[in-house]
Amino acid sequence: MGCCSIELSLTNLILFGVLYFVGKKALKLFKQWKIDRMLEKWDDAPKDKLILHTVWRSKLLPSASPFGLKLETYLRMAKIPYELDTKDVMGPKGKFPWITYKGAHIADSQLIIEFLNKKLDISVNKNTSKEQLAIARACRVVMEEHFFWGLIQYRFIDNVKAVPQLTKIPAMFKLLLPLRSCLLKQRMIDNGIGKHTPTEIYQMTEADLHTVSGALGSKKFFGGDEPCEDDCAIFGGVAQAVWGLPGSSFERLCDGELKNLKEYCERMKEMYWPDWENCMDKS
Amino acid sequence: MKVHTYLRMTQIPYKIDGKDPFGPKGKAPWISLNGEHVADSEFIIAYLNRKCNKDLNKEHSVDQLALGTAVRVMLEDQFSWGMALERFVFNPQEFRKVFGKNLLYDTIILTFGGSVAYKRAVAQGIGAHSREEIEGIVSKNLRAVSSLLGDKKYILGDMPCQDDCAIFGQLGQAVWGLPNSNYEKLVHSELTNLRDYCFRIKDLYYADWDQLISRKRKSA
Repeated sequence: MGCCSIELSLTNLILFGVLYFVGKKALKLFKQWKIDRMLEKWDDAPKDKLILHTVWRSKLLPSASPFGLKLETYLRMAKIPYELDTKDVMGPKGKFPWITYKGAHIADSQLIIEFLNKKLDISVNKNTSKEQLAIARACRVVMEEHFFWGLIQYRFIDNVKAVPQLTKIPAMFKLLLPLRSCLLKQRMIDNGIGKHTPTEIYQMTEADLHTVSGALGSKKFFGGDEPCEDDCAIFGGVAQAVWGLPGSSFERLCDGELKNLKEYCERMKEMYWPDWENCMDKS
Repeated sequence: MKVHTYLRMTQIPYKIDGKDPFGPKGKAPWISLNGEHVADSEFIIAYLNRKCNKDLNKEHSVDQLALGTAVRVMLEDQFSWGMALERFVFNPQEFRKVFGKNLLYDTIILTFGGSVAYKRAVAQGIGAHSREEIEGIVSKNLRAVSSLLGDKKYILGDMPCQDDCAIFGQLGQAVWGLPNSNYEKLVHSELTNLRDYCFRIKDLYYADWDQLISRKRKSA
């Protein structure tokens, strides 16, 4: 009897393991199949129109996604007309924002910008020195690869119940918010930063705002007197701290000690978003 | 390499333990000092600055230091992913030249390490791209660092700052730790100021470099 139950438990364990791996693979294939079907629908979009697929408008700023705000600001800076789609948010590689243009579907804000620069022969960096561009690039990476996790910690892990105040959430998604929170926490642990306490995470990411503020100094933009391409990304991230994280230490820093960042955001907003108020969700 | 270099720059004597590489929070490196254990290189440096009254940044202004930090974060939070993927996923056969012990050990580390590195890179975001795209992104970061360094001795000028330890820790991998990679080719051909920077720091703070490597080869 004893040996029989050990055998049964082992069999169960092996079976469970096999089911787990098969299930994981099947889910991955199903997700890819869904994305492929969705992309087929957009294959028929008019070839001369650029369609920007991104998250729907938020209540506090035009986009609660730093990458969405970055890309839209770039399109305005480069004067590329675009149409917004907020229904098919997730694109190729499971990322957003993504674009459909001349039959191509491209994801990742930075790769999209490089694609459009090449396709349309655009250069918004003409008046910026190589050194200034390098500083702007470094600050973009600080905001996109490090500060981003402070934003996630505050918005989706520590204050997830306040997300509906930032953006409309369909009823079904509201139920899934705690799961989303757990998945994002796991992503942060995989990154490494999630192994720290929330206090340490905020300390490290507040330092990012100090870094970017120090690098900006008294300049109007990171490109100097005129914005450069990476100003779009830096604005996309810093604007979240200024308007999109109410009650956070990030907001307090931008209102107080690092007010050059808030003034910078106001300048970018005035330059590229004269319709800012109309681009928010007023419902 | 970052913490090693900081300890040598600040002349804090230390002893290496290679048996328990992962400490509190499951991170490496970590330190033990007078019964206190600290993980994460930035927290280690901040802790030792306080405990041992060190300040590598006193010669530099706040604005200058911001530049050093921006370069550090760019390397630690993007170049390091390119390095991990190069080592464990795209070019694992070269891994053995840097870390190799024996065939069984290397196979286990590469199999396990490869899938963990890939999974974490996907969670971070960069792993969703192709190898060429990742190399493109990371190479542009190296070019930006090269532009910012220029012909200066250290990232901020003639005197090193705290972030030079981290920057050397990352760039040193491109110079010595990623054999036959495009990153190695880049720092030895187009971005030679990065290679020269690394050799400068190595000559200044690692007089025993060859002995450290030969000790490792003997024990392997």
